[in-house]
Amino acid sequence: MQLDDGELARRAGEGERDAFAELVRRHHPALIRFCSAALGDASRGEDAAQEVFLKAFRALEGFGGRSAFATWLHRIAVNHCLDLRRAEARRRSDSLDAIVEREGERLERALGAGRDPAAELEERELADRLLSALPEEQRLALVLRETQGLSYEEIAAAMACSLDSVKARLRRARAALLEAARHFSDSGGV
Amino acid sequence: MDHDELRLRLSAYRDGELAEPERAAVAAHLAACPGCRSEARAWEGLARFLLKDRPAPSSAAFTARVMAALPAAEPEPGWAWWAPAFGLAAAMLAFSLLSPRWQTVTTDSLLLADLSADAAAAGTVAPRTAADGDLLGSVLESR
Repeated sequence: MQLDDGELARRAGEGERDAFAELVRRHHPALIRFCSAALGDASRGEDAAQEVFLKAFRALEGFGGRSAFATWLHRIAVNHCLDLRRAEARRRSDSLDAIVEREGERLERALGAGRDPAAELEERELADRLLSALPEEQRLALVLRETQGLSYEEIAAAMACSLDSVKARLRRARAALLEAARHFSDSGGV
Repeated sequence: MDHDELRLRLSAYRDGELAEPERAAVAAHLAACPGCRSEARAWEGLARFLLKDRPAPSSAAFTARVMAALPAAEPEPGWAWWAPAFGLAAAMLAFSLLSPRWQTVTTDSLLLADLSADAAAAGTVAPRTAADGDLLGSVLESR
């Protein structure tokens, strides 16, 4: 019989390392994906996810099962990624407009039909930079919603904010990215 | 709700987070408004590009790396108490087993030592065993 996350977390908190290993096995793909998108750097996703799991392990006693383990894990991940991002002033200084201005052609290719598989990595890097230009709260809310499929309630719990804040952050993030894409489209692109 | 109010709700509508009757109002608006429909479609394409196409890596190596990086397990609380006590008991046992028996001082050995000294002073032969000592003692007492 497969144990649920809550039971595994309880056992892991009592020192059962196999239980924690099972939690890592279950959640690491989603967590790596989240960290990659949240940091705007796919190459750092694994390292960041590893750090998040280590923090979670040390904090297991504080997991009372009041929320789902995945939500609790994402809350740790959100804080960890915010800490890492705060240390990166240079990358954050790029505005959406500046990126679209410089990378317009690549954005057109990326959004157009018949994408070249060979250019996928390059496009991923561009996508990361576009996401990185969003304010932190907006980007994290968007990533939690789009890559992790969290509900608004779960995002609010992970980001320690209200439901209204989640709605506003997602709306503004989408509007800003659509505006950037539209700006390029109007000037002859997409 | 007017057009702008409905447009502001497109994001939550897409996420399935609108309650009735707002959800129905936005759905009806989307059916009637080409601009909002176009915006909704545009977001789908952009979201796919920005976020959805990300691979979801899954590897045993990652799990192994995390587990190897965990802090070392602490000893059981019982062992924390037992280990020093056990060590002390073992040391005492070893000391008692390894100590030479000749260091043990008995009444017999003291008597033998005294008799040897007396014998040496008198130029006679001292007893060498406890049995000799007993015999000699009884002889002396009979005097």
